[in-house]
Amino acid sequence: MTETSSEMPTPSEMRAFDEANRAAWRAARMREASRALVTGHIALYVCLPGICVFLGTHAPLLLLALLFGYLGLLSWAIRRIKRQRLKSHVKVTDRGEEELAAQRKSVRYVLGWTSYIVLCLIGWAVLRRHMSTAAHLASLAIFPLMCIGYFVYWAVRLALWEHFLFAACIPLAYLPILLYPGPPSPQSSLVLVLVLVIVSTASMVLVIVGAASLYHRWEVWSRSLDDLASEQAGEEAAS
Amino acid sequence: MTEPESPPSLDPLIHEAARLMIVSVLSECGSASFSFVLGATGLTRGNLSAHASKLIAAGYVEEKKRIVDRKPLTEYRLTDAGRTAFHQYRADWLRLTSGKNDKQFRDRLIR
Repeated sequence: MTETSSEMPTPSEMRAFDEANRAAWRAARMREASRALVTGHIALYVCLPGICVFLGTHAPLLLLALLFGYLGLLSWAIRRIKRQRLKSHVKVTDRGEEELAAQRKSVRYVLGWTSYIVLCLIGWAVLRRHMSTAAHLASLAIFPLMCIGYFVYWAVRLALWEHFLFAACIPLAYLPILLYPGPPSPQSSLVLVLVLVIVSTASMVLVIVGAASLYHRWEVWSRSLDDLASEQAGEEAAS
Repeated sequence: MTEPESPPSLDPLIHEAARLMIVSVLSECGSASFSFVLGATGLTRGNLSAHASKLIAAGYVEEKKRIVDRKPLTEYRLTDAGRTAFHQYRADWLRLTSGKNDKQFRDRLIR
């Protein structure tokens, strides 16, 4: 490469630029996989209201079992992640984490979020009285829709199918509320409830599966990078 | 008559292939360990150390060393100056490779 260039880039410079873009893309994928637990939780918290409303009404025991199962799984996952992080020398943080850790923007983040939520609650409480049912439902759907957009964006940008799964789980979690016609009296409606309970449960299970798969990618990557680093260190020591 | 706009010059420090890769990788992360950058860029340890040192000397990258599990861990972070320089570099690159110079650029690629 030339030292300073104000001319048109040469083909080799163009290739180097493409290679750098690919490296950045690989890094972004790995960074995203490393924060699988956080991403999985974002998806889960978006799905949870839909799951809790439906299962809480029709299968409260199943909901309790799911929540306790999830908590057990979470504590096991945190222990496993801690152990893996201690052993591995492959570490990455995203810019948000870095800024929060440096406490540079944490006050601004907290203040911004708190005021946003307070404003939303006040606005919603005031407007609710003047809204039709359709408008009411539409306003409730804004946040899940935004999250679907977020997951689809990252799925397309980083080619990670787990993000598509997270995006698909959100409508799945709210589907039972929208499809459920009313109190179950005939047998056919009991079958419908059963199907919707399965759909609702599946959305939560699929989010957990997606997060586990994303974290598995990170584990495989970090293990191979650890091996590569120690291999190269060995070669350098030998030479 | 107005003077024709001069083509932008690319930052020589970032323009080098290995350093461009390091800065591109770090631009996607808050901070990244030596092994992470090594894996993402595909450079050798020696190459990465040498180029990272140049970026550190220029104030584009910050280095933090600590001991984890009785082994040294080196972490890199793009500084604000480094991030600004990288954004500027990309903007200059896009200006160079687009617009009125398109035909000339394509011709050179074909050759």
